[in-house]
Amino acid sequence: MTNGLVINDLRVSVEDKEILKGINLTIEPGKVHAIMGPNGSGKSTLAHVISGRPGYEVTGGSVTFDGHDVLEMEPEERAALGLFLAFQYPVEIPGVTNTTFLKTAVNALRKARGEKEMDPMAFLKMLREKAKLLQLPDDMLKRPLNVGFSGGEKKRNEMLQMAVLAPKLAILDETDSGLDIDAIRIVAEGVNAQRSPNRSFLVITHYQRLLDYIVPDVVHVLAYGRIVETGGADLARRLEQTGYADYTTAA
Amino acid sequence: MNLIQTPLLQDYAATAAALPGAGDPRVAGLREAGAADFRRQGLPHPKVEAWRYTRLKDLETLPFGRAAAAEAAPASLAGAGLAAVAARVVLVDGRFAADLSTLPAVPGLTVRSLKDCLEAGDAAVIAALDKGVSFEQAPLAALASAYLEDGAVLAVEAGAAVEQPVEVVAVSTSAAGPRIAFPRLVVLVGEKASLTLVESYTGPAHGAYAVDAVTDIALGEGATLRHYVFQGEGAEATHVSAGRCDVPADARYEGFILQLGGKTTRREMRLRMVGSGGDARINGAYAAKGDGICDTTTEVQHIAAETTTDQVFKGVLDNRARGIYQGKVHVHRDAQRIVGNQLHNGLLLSRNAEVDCKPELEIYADDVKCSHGATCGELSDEQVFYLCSRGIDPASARALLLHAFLAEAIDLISDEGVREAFSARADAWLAERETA
Amino acid sequence: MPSTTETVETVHAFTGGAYKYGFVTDVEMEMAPKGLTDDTVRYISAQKNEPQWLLDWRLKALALWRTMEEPKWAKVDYPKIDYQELHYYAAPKSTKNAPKSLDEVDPELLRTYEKLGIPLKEQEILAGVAVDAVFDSVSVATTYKAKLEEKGIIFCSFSEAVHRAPELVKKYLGSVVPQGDNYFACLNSAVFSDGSFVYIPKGVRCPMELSTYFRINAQNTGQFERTLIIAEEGSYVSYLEGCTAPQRDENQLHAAVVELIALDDAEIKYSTVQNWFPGDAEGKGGIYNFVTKRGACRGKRSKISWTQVETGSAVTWKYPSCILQGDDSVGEFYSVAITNNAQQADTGTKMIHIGKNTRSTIVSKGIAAGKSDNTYRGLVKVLAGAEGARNYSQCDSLLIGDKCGAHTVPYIESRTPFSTLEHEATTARISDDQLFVCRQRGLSSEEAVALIVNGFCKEVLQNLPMEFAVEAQKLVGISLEGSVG
Repeated sequence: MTNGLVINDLRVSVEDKEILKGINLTIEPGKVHAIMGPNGSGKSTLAHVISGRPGYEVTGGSVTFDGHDVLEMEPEERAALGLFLAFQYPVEIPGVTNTTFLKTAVNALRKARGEKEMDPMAFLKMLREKAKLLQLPDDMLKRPLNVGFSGGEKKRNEMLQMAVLAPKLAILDETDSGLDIDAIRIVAEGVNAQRSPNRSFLVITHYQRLLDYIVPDVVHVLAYGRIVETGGADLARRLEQTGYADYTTAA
Repeated sequence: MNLIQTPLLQDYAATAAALPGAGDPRVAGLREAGAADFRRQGLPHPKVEAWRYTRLKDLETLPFGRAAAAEAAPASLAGAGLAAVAARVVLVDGRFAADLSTLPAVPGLTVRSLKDCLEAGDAAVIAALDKGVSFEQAPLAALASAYLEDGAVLAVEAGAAVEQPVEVVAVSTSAAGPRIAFPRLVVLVGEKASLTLVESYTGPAHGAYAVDAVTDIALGEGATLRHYVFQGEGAEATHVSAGRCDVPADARYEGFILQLGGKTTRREMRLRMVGSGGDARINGAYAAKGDGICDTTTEVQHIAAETTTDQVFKGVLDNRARGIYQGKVHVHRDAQRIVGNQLHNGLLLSRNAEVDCKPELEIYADDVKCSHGATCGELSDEQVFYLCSRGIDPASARALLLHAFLAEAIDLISDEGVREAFSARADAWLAERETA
Repeated sequence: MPSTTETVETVHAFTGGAYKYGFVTDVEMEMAPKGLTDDTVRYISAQKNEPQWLLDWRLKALALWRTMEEPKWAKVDYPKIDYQELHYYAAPKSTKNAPKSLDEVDPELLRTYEKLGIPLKEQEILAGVAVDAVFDSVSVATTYKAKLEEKGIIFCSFSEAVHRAPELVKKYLGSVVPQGDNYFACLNSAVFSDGSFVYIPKGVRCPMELSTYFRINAQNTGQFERTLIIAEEGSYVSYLEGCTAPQRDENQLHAAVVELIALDDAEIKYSTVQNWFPGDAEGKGGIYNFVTKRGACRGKRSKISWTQVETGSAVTWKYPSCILQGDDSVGEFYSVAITNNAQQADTGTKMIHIGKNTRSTIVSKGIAAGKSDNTYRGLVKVLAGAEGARNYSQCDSLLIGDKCGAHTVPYIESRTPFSTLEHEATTARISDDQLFVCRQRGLSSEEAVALIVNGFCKEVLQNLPMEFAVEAQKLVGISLEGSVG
């Protein structure tokens, strides 16, 4: 059994159009992988398929996490395994406060793992500490999930959820999009604080600048549904110079 | 429930036999169906949910008879007061008046009298009249069908664009004894064709008369109809109308109803969104004073998925007048991805005026965005004060705010000429109120 | 506290997610013969040892009822009720001579209420809540009576009030909901069996929540309770009402009347969690809940606030209303109505503004799932002279699935220019994205729906007293069980 995420020849279609054309990717525990690529290359599709968002048809290949066949599982079962998706467009749920949402999620995950519910006071204490680290004001915890949040607040809120739910693999789907440089720095600090030998990250981004702050172990370039190049952190810097022009004719 | 006694339709048997197309079973059938339906329902009364706010008192109490051929020339043919039209069709007491009409050749447009079409047995016209639209809760439309005789038929051939407004002026004349006229319009707009139509209703300033108008519209796919109505009846008139239009795929319907006249008036517009990509707006403005009752009732049926409707209505009520807005949006099962919005704002200018508003949503599909909003109140003191503080006298300040209030609806008219004409009519109403 | 996890556990604890309160209590019953005649009314009145004036009042109502027709305007559809096939009175035999104290109550009945989560032994009761328990046609127990009496508060069964406070009953009975108000209220006026009576004297703030728990048990029985609450000048009371019934194949009729009277500066807060048996998934059985609730803000600056959570019943026809007579009086209506499977609800309110500067607020949240129909129907009427009246109405509907219907029918009638009325309505659904984000964070789809719907209803639920709010949150989840695939 291989620990971590193993993707083997993954093929995915949306409405009969093939988006991912055979992805191979292994992310070992503790590693930070970045996936870069031009718009429409399939980056978000990959994130969605790993986390089980409906609307995608897997036509071939496999995805396992810590040896479990992820593709056979419901989204909440994948979450219980420790898979976390930070959404590119965080969803609003009116009337459900951030605190209620997170407490419900934490307890659902604990239950799925056969653990006892968390003491409400201990939970609140933990939540406030994590929020403080991300420079989120207390009142944001009491507001309905993402309703009326600015773009930056929404993304920081995703980082807060990641901190609270403590996943084994966190997928950041273009978390940097729409953020100014200060917000990117805060988000990156939040991620870096959570790097550990048994937590891995898959950072999806269009731009290199996020990777100035979250330095990846491995960088992949995704174009036209395939990983066309893999390298170290320097690959990202090279792309910053050359752009994706080299890959746009590749199909 | 006992039906309200009325002399209407008592002469039906004798009259129908002499009406155009009486020998054509299709035409006779339409009249029979209308007569049967009216006999069953009788005059509307407040116990019928759709008529809970509007009672046609004059029709109940005065001995109305069907208007015969005009005895006097109409006082005015000005209609809505449009500066320029492509054609002007005049109906006098519901009958096509070729000699009073201005009908230059307009490419793609045909204008005929309904009488001719009935006599000729025109299949398309009869089909439009018999579109299977139920007369339920519209007994006056049934009555109009029983007396189906004349009116105008406008047809735009596929692909043709008639951009300049075609105005139909339905004018009532004064006659001895209260008379009821049945102006009838059939509008056929072919595939991808477009038409700007203005219906104008006017009549003698004084004396009781009634108008029972029906407009049947058939749009082709991708057609566009701008359908504007100016109701400027005389002070003692009863005006009831029913408009019906199916909006097929990718067709656009833009309606506007301006009601400024009459004693008791009710305009109904029913739309059925039957094709995906169909888009409809029905907006309107109204003003009533004295003991006027001004009712605007709309019904939108979203039958096909991916259809959009939007409604904005604004009303001003003075003296003891009553304004009524009823709007129903019905989203059928499986009609997904629907947008349907309604807004009604009522403004009361007198402590005896009243506004009754019933916006209604009936929704059977889950992927829809429907809303309605309604407000009712007085002119904002704060706004009046603000204007006064800038040196405007209170009367002018109020007039300005009233104009602005109605303009918010009138400005939604996309045809510039019609917008200006309607705006001028509304301003004239407000000016008259100021001087009264 | 999010109740969703617990909710779903509760759901699974039920056999197949069935109605939790569907059990039948086996006690010997005293029943009126089937059918409705003058004699039925005399029988009921005699059982309760009523004075002649009340019997006459009932008989007058019956005569009037015979001339009336069942209302048809609501958007509900149910087979014709045969009013001669019902029992109009059913009482546990053991309470023939009403128990003087809780010790005398049939232990089987006490067990019933324990099973329902309403222990009637005072030491076990939630601190601060006094309970009147109504079992079929009679009140079986009222708790904390003595403590309330110290303050001059009367909280007892309606039957008892007829003897204890006859002048109050005579003065106020039918003064808010006249006999001929509507078909079901008129029926109730003729055959009402029992209910609660509350009187709060001048200047008294009721120290605890008052609660009535209604239970229909017997078969083929209508329940017709009558509740009357009078709040004298400057007094305050918060009253809670809960309802359940056994699971039966036949439909059962519940036609209650509730009258509230608030005098100068008085405030009545009336909360309902209605969880009558809704019928099974195919729509078989369930309660017909045809209820007339109305409050009169007679006094200046008085306030009546209705909060309802309607999750049960096969058919609901209910419009808790406020007549705002006193100047500066305030009416409120907060409602959550959930329909699932084949349930039908036509519910809303009427706010009648008569006094000057009267204010009303309407917040309605309708949730339709399964094949159900959920209608908000409400009237805001401002009479001439109600200068300065204000109303704000908000009606939101949520559809879950594509086989249900959600409808909004507001009537807005204004006869004074010096008023401000605002009405907003929206319709939405739970988006796939909302469901997915919840599931990605570890919630099952049932938990996700319960969480999202509770969020949707929050503005209403937060108006409930604490103990009820938690219960109501759970109910929201349970009621929608099975609504998403």
